[in-house]
Amino acid sequence: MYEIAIIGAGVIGCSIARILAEYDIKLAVLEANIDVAMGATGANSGILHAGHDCETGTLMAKFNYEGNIMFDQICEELDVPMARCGSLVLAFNQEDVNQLEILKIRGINNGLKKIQIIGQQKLYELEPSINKDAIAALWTPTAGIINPYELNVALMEISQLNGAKYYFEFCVSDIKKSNNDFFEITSSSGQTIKAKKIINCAGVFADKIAKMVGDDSFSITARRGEYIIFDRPTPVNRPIFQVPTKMGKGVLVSPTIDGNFFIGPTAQNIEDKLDKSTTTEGINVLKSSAQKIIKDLPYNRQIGSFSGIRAIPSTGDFILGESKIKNFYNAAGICSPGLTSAPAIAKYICSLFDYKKKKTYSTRRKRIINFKSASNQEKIELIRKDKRYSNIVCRCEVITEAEIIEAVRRGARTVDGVKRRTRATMGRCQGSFCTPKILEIMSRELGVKVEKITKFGGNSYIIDSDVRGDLHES
Amino acid sequence: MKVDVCIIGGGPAGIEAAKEAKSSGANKVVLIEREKVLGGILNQCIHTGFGQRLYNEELSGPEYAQKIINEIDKEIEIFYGTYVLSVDSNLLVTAVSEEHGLLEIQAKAVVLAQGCREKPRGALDIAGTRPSGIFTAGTAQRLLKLNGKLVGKNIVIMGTYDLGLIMARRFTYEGAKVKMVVESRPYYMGLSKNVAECINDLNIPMLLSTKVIEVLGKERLTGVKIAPIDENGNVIYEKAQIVECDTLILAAGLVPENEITQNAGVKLNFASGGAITDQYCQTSVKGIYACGNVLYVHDLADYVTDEARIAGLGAAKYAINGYYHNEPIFKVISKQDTKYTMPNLIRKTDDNVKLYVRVNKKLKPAFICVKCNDKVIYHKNFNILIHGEMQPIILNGRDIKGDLEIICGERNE
Repeated sequence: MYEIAIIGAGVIGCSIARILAEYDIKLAVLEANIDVAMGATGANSGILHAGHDCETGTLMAKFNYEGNIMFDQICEELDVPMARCGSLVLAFNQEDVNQLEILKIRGINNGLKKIQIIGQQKLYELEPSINKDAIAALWTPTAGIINPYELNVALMEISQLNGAKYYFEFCVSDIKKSNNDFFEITSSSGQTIKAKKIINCAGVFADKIAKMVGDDSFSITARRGEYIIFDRPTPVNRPIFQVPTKMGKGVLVSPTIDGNFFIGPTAQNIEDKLDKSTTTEGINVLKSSAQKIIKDLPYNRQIGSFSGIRAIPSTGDFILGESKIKNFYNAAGICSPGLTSAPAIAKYICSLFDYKKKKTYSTRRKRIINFKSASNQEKIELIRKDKRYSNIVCRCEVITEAEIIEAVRRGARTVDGVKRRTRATMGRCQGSFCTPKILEIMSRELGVKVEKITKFGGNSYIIDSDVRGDLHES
Repeated sequence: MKVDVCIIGGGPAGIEAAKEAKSSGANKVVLIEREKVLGGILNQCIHTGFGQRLYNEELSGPEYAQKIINEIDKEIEIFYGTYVLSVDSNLLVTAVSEEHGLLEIQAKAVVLAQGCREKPRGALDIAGTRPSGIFTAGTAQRLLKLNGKLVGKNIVIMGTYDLGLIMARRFTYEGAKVKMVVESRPYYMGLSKNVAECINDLNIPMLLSTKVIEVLGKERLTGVKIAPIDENGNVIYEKAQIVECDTLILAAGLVPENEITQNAGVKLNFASGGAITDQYCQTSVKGIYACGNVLYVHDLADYVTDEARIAGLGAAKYAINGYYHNEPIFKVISKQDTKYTMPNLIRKTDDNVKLYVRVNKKLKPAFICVKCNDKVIYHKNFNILIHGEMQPIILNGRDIKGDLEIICGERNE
């Protein structure tokens, strides 16, 4: 019997798990996918928003502002790279400038101290590569960039270290409330878990989970956003937005914490909540829209396009707290600025409980050592300790065998899991060279045949069979 | 460690450059290879067609590799399993290997021969889901030949570069079903010989002017959506159809692998993707030479040899006594239907200059015309010129007194 079961191991579920794991309770985290960060957390802009977008007085505005401030400490404790590079919203005409004024006032009302409108000269000092048609910009130095799935993995690892139990491929299909006042949670494969309390962090499916216990107070719409990602170097130093519309913040150009850059996202409501397709129309919208920010984007350095799905709440704001069903809590409808708000949302949800802390718990976690960014002296040391640091497996990103083994040791079960923990396959060749080697290493470390190793779980097998063999019946 | 010439990459280009550097009198020559064996991509090219120029034989890739490896001078020091992290503009090469840990090699001259990579799906704007089952042809080839693994059973191949054509045949031999090869252009990109032997002889349907517009499948690929392209290059979406398959192989072209090159400060040519060089394989950084697929994607491995020898010779001369070609330099400008030429710079010379010309579309019947200061210095007619086969032309160096314009086109008959 668990005291609490968190449903959903995205950045929200795992942020909550990080705090709850410090308490003296039995904690379970249930995740439908094979790994963390496979929903909205796995594909979004990775931006820590300053907090001028959300309407004053909303939960979104409050938690955005509070969450943003909390990231320095979290990233320091969890060893997750983050950069407070600030952000810009561009204006191209007087009407846009008027909009910037509105955003500025909103930002101040939301708590921001450092927010100003800058003219062309300062703008081009900050961003030499952008379209010279921009006449002014809203400048907020407190915005930042982070790798959302790296954060998600770190949150999982620290909570696991403190005793949280994770159940992967546990797709909740039914929840029954027993007379003895606990929940019985069943997975689609028939596994059952008992918990006294549930926190629903199920992203786009949070409405479906809530309905299982009889909470039909909200629904979630899936809104897809498409992206194009480019190889290093980045032409911009920080996220650069256009004036927002009612569908969202619009297409932006932003560097990633790893030095790549992307354009995106589009915004399109979709029926199938799992449809992460990219579309010809979407890519065309991206290209024409991003052109406003940077005229000649280097499409010869494009290395990927992908989609993310936002969970848009029917209520127009985050849905947080205990539902009408006792002991069933929601942290639902967490769309943008959800990543920035995550720490503050977690803090708020956990403030609703009254548990004692464990006698001992860890607050710090180290990331997987990155050979590439080590100094020459450190590289020599690493190889001396473990010669597998000398075997460069992913040539584009310079990722070593030792790093891949460490990712598997920490729970990567799929090629994408290794990718998100190490950056192997995320470079220019997108895994063309290193996938065979990664499969060999994973097969050896996990003690399974390569045919059993998937890209991201389910039927996403990579290798069909031995030559002239027969494994997957087609 | 201090060396005269350091060659990066132990494929056919690097091996040949190392041999030439050594036989031209360079004292200490080292060859760095990231895999455990020399030969580069030849090791997974088990089809024949190699070595016709050098040995007058039809060899497979590994056989050809072994032949050129056997001729390597024993005094050349080879670093296996060694990965170059960087080359700086002072020709300090930093590398890493299990045997030596971190390795710093101060070279007097460097030859870049790292080869190329394939264009992955992400670079190609194919809409749809992101399932497993999409591979570049080279990855599938590597898995098949070096790991003994088949990536799928029902296969669609997108693109008609040689590697895709060769893999169509290989998959068929291995018992997989290649349902079709599709090419968005109205003509194929590989060698005619490969189309005949790998596609037509095996009755594999090849659809030209056909685009893969979407990939389908949530987990593993379940199919692709294809649509024809009209004469104006527009996709006819209403004629789209779904082809069921579990594997999509991409043969959409190769890209020279030039990150080390760029970090060393070498200037690149946008059209070829490789370094800007003169006829002596000299790059914009003194002492750095480039040859093979890192310079531009060659149609045949045999063609790499001449170039690698030029690079190896240049590197040796520079290492021995600082000899460097410093004659006035002229640009080679690609005009009308010319994609790029190799080299893209020519230094003043009285000798003949061999120039390779790549056209950017099929021209039939065709001509190549070279102008210098608005005067035609070369004009020749050809039955056909295709993108997949570079055309060598010989220019008289004495005619080259300024920048050159290369004009390709179709003849009106």
